[in-house]
Amino acid sequence: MEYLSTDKILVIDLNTAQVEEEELSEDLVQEKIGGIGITKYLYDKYKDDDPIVIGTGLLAGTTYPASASAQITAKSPVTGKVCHCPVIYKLGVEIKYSGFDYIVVKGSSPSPVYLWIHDGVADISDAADIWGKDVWKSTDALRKFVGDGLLQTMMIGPAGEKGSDYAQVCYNHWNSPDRFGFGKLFGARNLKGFAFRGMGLIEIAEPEDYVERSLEILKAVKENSFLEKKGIAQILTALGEEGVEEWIDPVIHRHNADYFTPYATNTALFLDEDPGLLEESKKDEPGVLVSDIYALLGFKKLGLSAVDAGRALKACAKYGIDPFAVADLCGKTTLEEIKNSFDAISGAVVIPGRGLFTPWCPTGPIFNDFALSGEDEIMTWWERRQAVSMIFGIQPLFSLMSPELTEESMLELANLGTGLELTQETLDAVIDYIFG
Amino acid sequence: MKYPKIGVYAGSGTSHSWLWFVDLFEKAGFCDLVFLDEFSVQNNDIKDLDVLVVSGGDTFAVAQSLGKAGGQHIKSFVEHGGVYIGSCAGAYLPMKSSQKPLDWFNFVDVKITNLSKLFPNAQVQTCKSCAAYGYDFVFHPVREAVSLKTTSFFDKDKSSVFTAPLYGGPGMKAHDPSWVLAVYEGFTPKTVFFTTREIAEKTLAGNGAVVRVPCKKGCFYLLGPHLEHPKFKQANQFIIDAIISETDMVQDHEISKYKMPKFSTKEKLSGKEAKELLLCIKRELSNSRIVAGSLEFLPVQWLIGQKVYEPQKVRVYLEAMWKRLRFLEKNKVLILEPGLYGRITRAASQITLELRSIKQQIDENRDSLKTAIIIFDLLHVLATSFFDLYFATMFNGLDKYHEHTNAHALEGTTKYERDVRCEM
Repeated sequence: MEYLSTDKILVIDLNTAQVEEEELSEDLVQEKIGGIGITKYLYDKYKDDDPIVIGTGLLAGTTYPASASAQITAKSPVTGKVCHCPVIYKLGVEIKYSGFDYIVVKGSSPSPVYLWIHDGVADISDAADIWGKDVWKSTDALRKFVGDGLLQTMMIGPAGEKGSDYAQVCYNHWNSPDRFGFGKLFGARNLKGFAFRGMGLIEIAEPEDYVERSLEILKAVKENSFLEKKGIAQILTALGEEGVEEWIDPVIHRHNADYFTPYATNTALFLDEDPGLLEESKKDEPGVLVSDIYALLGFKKLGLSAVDAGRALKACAKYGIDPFAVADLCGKTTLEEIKNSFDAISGAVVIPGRGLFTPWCPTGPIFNDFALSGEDEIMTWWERRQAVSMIFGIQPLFSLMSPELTEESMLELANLGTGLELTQETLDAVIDYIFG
Repeated sequence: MKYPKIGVYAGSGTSHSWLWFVDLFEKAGFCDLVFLDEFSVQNNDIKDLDVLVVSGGDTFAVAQSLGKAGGQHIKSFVEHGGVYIGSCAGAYLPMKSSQKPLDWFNFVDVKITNLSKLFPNAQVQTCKSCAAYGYDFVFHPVREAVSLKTTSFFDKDKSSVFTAPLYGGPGMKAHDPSWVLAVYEGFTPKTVFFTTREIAEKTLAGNGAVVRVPCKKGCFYLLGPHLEHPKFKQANQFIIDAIISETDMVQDHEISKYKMPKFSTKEKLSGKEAKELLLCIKRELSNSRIVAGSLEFLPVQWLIGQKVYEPQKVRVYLEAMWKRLRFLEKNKVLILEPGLYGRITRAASQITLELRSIKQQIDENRDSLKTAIIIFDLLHVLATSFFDLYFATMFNGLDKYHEHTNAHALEGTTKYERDVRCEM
């Protein structure tokens, strides 16, 4: 596959430490398009090995608005279903730039390892120095070792190593949309995680038309008045939650957007320094980056202050545990109690619909109504929207905000980008395949 | 087509600009390249060359490294019909000088016009505006693109004007004005002035920018600006034309010319072994590029000898190799000299370690000069070894091509090599 692609699928067998590369064929893209269309295909292909499959959306890393996302597809050790977790921040794009569109991990390593993926090279590296360390220390250690602060990681913490059902695969220092216990899956295979860095380029079949159309779509997206807003508190307000903005505003430090995403879906809270500080921070990370709106809301509902909610989220991120599960299931009301409850949590997090997609994403539209009505219609729309976002690599929260990001425009750009002729029928068939 | 055998000096004292010559020669189809360090010059490995290139860098360091023996071999090489092309530091090197160790290289009667006994009063005083030259100072009135005008040497009827970047190279006054092939004509909107325009004009305008000094059967080409810089196509062509012209002109050259290289002493690597070597190179180049990229965010420079090195220069070496990897990956057979495999893998992994180490030193505000020196030395070792592999492999493809075609049909085109390369 020449365009919008690195042309490579990586297959790693942790049992034998074998690393193989397969070509990403045009036929496969023509049939399954990309993202979870292909990660699901690869999962099925290697089903006997119960693989962990990582993939990037077809448009990821391009100028299509919000083309930020990659995905993890694996069988959840909690629900037993093959689920799809979006990869957000800058990490989704970095995976593609690091030289592989898809990564299949089979088997279990005899000793702890991490996978160092860079510029089309995949190294199975000894994780002895970081096994046992929390997510922050592991990420910091790898960045220091590799010598690059922009290294992007996908790591588990102690929760994953101990086999917690709520163990998350965290992205860099932060919690992720993982509600499926994928952290447990990594830990069971002695896989501490991944480090990604690459300086690759993506070729586009019709580059001028592609950029021109992308910018036209972006311009249309920018007509939305919600783009005057920023951060997660405004999302919660739009979803009908009251009092969140007043509660969190005093500790907000900044808002962050994922790659090329017009709305900043992440909010950083200042915990250890004065948020009004007008000089350069003296601490490497004086706060926490929050992307999980329901986890934040959950801690608020437990009665924590915004600062303590931030500290709880930070503790979850370090431990590598799903903060929503902690807030939902811990039954505690103070920060210290919550931090001490991680290993004792029990109960189940509800996964809506078919159970394929993470409820980290609100199960309905945000800021716009998309002309939907009724719970069934909204749930049907939501599942399809999640599937489409993760086929093309669109930031899943933003796809719930912007009606301008239509299936037609994604297909149009996919065709301009690849030179293929992908149709609505193809997309429908891929979605049917994903829904099983 | 006769292929000149070109030696590129990439030993101690050189900066990254020799890589520009590699790009230039490759594009022109001059693929019979040999990469030399100071020891190979001292061993007179240059005697079978047609052209010897000494690029930019630290003139004193180059002279010190080559030593008296190296100087004598260069002189002998030219006297016996070789063509010396010196750019920037390589141009200063053979000029007459009383300074030690430059006095081992008193080969051409050309004077530097940008030499001052007093510390120059620069408008912009940066580490790149001036360098000590014994008790005097070589000062650099301008930097970046300047305008050059050719004289009547190549074409009696017309002169042409082109631009080339000046990064510390000399303005020159030749003992015999007919030696001057191009003069500094003026400045461009991109020229950066370190002195007043008046001083810059007085120092450079009308003085020699490219000088050809005949020396028995051969000649010295001295290039003040970097005509080899990849962004200056017309200047590049000037060098290529000069080489073609010289290698045709020297009819009774004693050196056996234009032989395709023999690979009897070289190893052929294929299959798993070739893959492993390339994977190792790719892995370490990638690791190095990643650290080098992060170094570029840091406010650090290193003064090595008389030359200032920025972190960006590390990437120039790495990218020069990285962009050629794909060609090697497409080849089924790699050609390399005995010992080259180990030299490449050792240097490549050592560079990664040293780059990671220097990043930590800088992060922790520790002195990093010693490590920087090691890194640039290793980059030279790795790059020259890599290019030995690359061009030997490419030439092997050409050799094969000869076996299957009528060699006479290949007469003339430099495009030929490129076509073959694309096919391999």
